[in-house]
Amino acid sequence: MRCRRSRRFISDKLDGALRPRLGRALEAHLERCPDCRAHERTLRRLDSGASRAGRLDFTPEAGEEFLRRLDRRLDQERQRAGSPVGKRWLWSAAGLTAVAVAVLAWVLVLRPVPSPDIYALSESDVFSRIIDQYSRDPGWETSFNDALLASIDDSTISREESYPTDPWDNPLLWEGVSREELNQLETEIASDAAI
Amino acid sequence: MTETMDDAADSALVDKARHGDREAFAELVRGCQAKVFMTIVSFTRNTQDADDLMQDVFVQAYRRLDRFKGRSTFFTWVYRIAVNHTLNFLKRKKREAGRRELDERTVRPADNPASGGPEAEAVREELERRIREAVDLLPLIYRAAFNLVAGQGLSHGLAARALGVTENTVSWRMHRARKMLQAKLGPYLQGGDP
Repeated sequence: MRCRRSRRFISDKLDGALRPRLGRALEAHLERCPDCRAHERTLRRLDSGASRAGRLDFTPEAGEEFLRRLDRRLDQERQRAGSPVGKRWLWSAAGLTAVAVAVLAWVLVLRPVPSPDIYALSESDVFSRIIDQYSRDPGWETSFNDALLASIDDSTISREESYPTDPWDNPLLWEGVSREELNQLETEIASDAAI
Repeated sequence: MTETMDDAADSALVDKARHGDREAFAELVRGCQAKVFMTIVSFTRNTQDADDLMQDVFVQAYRRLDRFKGRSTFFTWVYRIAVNHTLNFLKRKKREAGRRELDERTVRPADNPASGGPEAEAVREELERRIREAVDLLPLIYRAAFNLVAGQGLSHGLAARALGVTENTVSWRMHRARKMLQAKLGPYLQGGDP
């Protein structure tokens, strides 16, 4: 066994983890190698110091105090987690609240507001109502047609009423007439009057 | 290190604790809290941190009792949780210098048989202080192995289970840790009785 390999096994030996066969080989090497024996002594000193350096005692009072605090914390944890039944109620309440909030939101914000043109009687609405009435009451069709025609008649300006019978009475006629034409017309009127 | 509790009594208590028997759980805690605490404090060197960590460890253990299958003793199982939790804590906090605080109400130095008079005692204390400082400066994986095996006296097998690695890995890490410490503490380790 070489020194390098031996030092690797010295570490295992100190931890009580060296297999017997390797242990025998190591011991044989150590017997004839003063450097490795010195190395082993150094490591033993290190381990001994490390073991003492970390050696503290946990006081019994600290142990009991720790248990009391742990007990309190476990109580808190349990209360926070709640019992399974309590949890079910909690989830149900949360679910109902969520549904209530959703309905309220729909009513206040998302519900489709009736379009204002229903109140203004849009063309489509008027005609759909008429068609509906037609289909349900054939007599209504006749009376509606009469009323419609009458209203068209009423609203239509008759030719006689809308235009002056005498073209000269139409003021628009004079606005587009040139001076020459005016002179000519004046002559014609004068000659008519003379007749 | 021997297992701290008798296996049968251990599993009976675990069974009761699983069914909500808090006194049974307290009994389990009593059986291993000192060793768990000492291990944690050997990493943190701070009793307040160690106390907080140990509370977390036992709360986690209580919550996870259903997952304890009884393949190891309760102590080994908790020990693994403790080491994991502590290493994660140290990784999060990195290395914080000057946080060494040992509350004497919680821990006290173990009785070390004095030998060689006050002068030899002073030399030994100085060496122990230097060793503590050098160990604290080791990379975490080596420090963890060294603390568990050389500091707490765990076998490679138990340390391997606590660290979640193989025994060979523990063996290798111990060898490397000793080499690094030897390089750092060389002059202080020469001569004298161990």
